[in-house]
Amino acid sequence: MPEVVTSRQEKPVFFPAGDDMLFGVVTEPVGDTRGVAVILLYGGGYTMSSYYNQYWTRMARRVAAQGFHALRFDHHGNGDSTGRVDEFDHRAPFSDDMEAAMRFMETQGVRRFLVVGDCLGARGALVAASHIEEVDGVFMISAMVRDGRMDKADDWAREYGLGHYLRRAFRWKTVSKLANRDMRRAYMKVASSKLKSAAPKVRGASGGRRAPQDQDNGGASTRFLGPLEIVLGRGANVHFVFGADDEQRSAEFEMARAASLGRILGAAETQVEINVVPGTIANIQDVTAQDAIIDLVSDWVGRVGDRPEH
Amino acid sequence: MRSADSRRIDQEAGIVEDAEFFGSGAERLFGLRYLPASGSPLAGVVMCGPILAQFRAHYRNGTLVARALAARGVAVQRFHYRGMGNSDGDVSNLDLSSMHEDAAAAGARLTEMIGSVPIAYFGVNVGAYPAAVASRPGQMLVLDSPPPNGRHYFRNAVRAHAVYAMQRENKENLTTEDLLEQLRGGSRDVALLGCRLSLGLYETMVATSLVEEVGDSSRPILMIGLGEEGSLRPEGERMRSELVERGFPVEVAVRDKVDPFWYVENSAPEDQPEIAVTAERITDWVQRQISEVPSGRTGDSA
Repeated sequence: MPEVVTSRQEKPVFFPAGDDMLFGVVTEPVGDTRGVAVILLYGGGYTMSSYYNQYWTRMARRVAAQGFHALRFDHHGNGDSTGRVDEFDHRAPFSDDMEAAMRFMETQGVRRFLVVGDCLGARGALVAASHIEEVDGVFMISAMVRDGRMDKADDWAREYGLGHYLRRAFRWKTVSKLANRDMRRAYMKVASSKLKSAAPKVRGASGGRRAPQDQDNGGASTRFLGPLEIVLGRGANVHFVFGADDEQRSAEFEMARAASLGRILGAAETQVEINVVPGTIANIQDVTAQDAIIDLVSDWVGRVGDRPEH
Repeated sequence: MRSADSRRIDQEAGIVEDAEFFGSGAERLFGLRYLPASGSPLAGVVMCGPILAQFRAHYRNGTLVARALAARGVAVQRFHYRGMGNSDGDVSNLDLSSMHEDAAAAGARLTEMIGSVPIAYFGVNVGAYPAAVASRPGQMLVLDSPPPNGRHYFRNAVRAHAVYAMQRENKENLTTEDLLEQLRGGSRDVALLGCRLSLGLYETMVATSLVEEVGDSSRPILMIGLGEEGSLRPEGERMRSELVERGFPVEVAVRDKVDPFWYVENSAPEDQPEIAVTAERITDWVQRQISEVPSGRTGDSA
């Protein structure tokens, strides 16, 4: 049974990333030290500290109990870091911040890395891993294979058609809840996002169209496939995990797998793992899914972290 | 006196940020302290944040308000309750009593680090409850969007959860009665918007109200709440009236936007005027309390 790790093994840190100072918490390993740091990055719209149920805190302490260093941190413009973020965009998935986090851990004497990212953070972890050879593995939680803006309201609005919301809007149960200010506000928020997302179609704009090369790739972005090919080509391990109820995210992955992604994964079969946990992990995670992912990460770093240097 | 674990100096903003774990017990708290670079704060503010999904929704706003207060000469202590964020402890043990203890510990840490200056407790949403209990006679109390009572709080939380479930086409129609039944059934997996909830938290919350938590001891109060044209909405007005009836000097600041709501709203809260407005209102009110109240009455320790 691994030792229980608490704040006694932890140290809050500020470290530079470009013009910004990022905030993070370093967890020191207990027992036999592996000499590998696990770097953790959340997805767009969240923060490291306020994520559900001490999710990243528990994950960091769990891997530290297995002998790994851990660093969880806030990307720029969020949480307790400096800077600002105007939108969450897969074309700029905070990979520079992820690289800065690894450089910081090098100053702490750690030279090899495993990176774990959730959603947009998964893409940031992947891109950073493609730039830094000392990364032995990438664990991607609910990664999107396509590019897009990541905003919760937009996600909800995208998920269902306008008719779905109009039908619901006129139900008595919905109307009766409009007496409550909080409910009114929630409805307005979704309606506003839905209208915004519908607007380009009304205007006939092409903002929603994917690049031709993405269509050839079964919808997957070259910004996803390129870094993945580099990381796997270097011999690193990659783990994907999806929520069983996150049908859209899984469907997009499977569609991409039928095209170029399948070829890339097939060529690196033994390095790749794909898992599904019950419930949802995109947007608001089920609590059982949260626990299942921490278990999976713990199991994965335990195996991959023992891999000899390549 | 133990110094902070990590420090950031922001010369442009004129503030210093200290991050640390503190507390002498088995379970330590994580905290961030924001200090004016001048080194002599006019007052100290203990910010008691919200919990559950509002912890997440409010987090960046809390950071920015704390920095804005420090830039105006007010020292701020933020912290994560045990069982939340980076602090030790398990969420299953988080209840109103543990939140009270944590708020008091944060106040003590701030006083230890900045010395004898007037102290205000600043409670955001349900954080107003531990702020009210931890603040001592004569200390200042800022209540930002407090729920009138625990039942009201959970009713809104369940509604927010229902809206989310509706988005996901989830047929689950959770009610507060269902929630209570699940909690009493002993499940560890009872959650609202992805955040685990304990029976202890539910029971301690629904048994009380904001006015009860404030109690009877004399404190000046700044109440920030929803409203229009300078008047609070009815539920806020009722809380204000009850506090005034109990003899509290209550000043009101009205805004037309909920903070925090249950979902993350804006990826760049730096653009929200409410951040600077809130910091300005609190600083102005604290300064007036200090200048109006005879020496010693604003409470110079936590």
